[in-house]
Amino acid sequence: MTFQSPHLDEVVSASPDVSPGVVLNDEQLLRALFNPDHIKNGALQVAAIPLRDLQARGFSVYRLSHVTPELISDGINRLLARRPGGEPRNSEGVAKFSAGTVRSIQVDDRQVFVVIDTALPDNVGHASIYLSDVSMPQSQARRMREQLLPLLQQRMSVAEAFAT
Amino acid sequence: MRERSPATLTPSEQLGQLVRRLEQLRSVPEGERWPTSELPDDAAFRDAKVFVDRLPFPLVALPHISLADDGEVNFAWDCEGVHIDLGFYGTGTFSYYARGADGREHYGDDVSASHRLPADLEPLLRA
Repeated sequence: MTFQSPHLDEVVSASPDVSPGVVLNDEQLLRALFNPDHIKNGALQVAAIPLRDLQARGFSVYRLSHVTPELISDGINRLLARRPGGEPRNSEGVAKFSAGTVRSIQVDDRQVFVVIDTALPDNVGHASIYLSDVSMPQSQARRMREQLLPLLQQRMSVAEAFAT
Repeated sequence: MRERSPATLTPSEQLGQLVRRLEQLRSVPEGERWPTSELPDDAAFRDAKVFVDRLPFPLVALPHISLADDGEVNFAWDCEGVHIDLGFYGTGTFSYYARGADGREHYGDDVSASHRLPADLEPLLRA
């Protein structure tokens, strides 16, 4: 796959017009997860992190300090209205982890992921995770996404995410 | 009927389960998919089926087959210390990252779906 390289500079916003600021290391990030799309029989699926997200589109997360519980719950409810064929879709809550944790993942002494402020007009708390080298071969990208998966293992309700 | 353990299935039963899983995933109506998804096209499913037909049955375990919302048909194995992440985007090829029980890593890109499996991958899959 060949992609146009996304904005990968962590100290500059990709959306300066609506940005609340670049993503700081101590910021908490949230990612909504669903069954059976991302979790099947209790197990997190590798495909919960699409390669194209890491290499081109951005793996979307919410910045906890810049969103409301209602915004996330509304987003979850919109997706619950669509069901994969023959199987009910259920919310598995949200995974919560810090931007610093994502940035601290290293392979061969190199930072693997970047966290970019990609604020949207209707969701200024939108951020995106990319591979720091988006041009790496797919096989390498598969190895790297395995490093990110453990961060999605600890899940909680939206209310719990804002309470802790 | 209670589902049998993959280890007790005959090679043809393993093949049948994988083919049925692909057919089930392919039948997801467009209106029930993710709003922003690019789910796999016919070519991705065709390549996945061709790959399944070339697997070295009996397999050590059946893969979990799932769809990513970027157009990938993904095959994942995680058992007995073996980890394999392998997928198709409808290009006639696949890529993979695998790690054997001995910790050795294996990589493959642009591997033809219709040719013989890579020599480093086949032993990890065979029962």
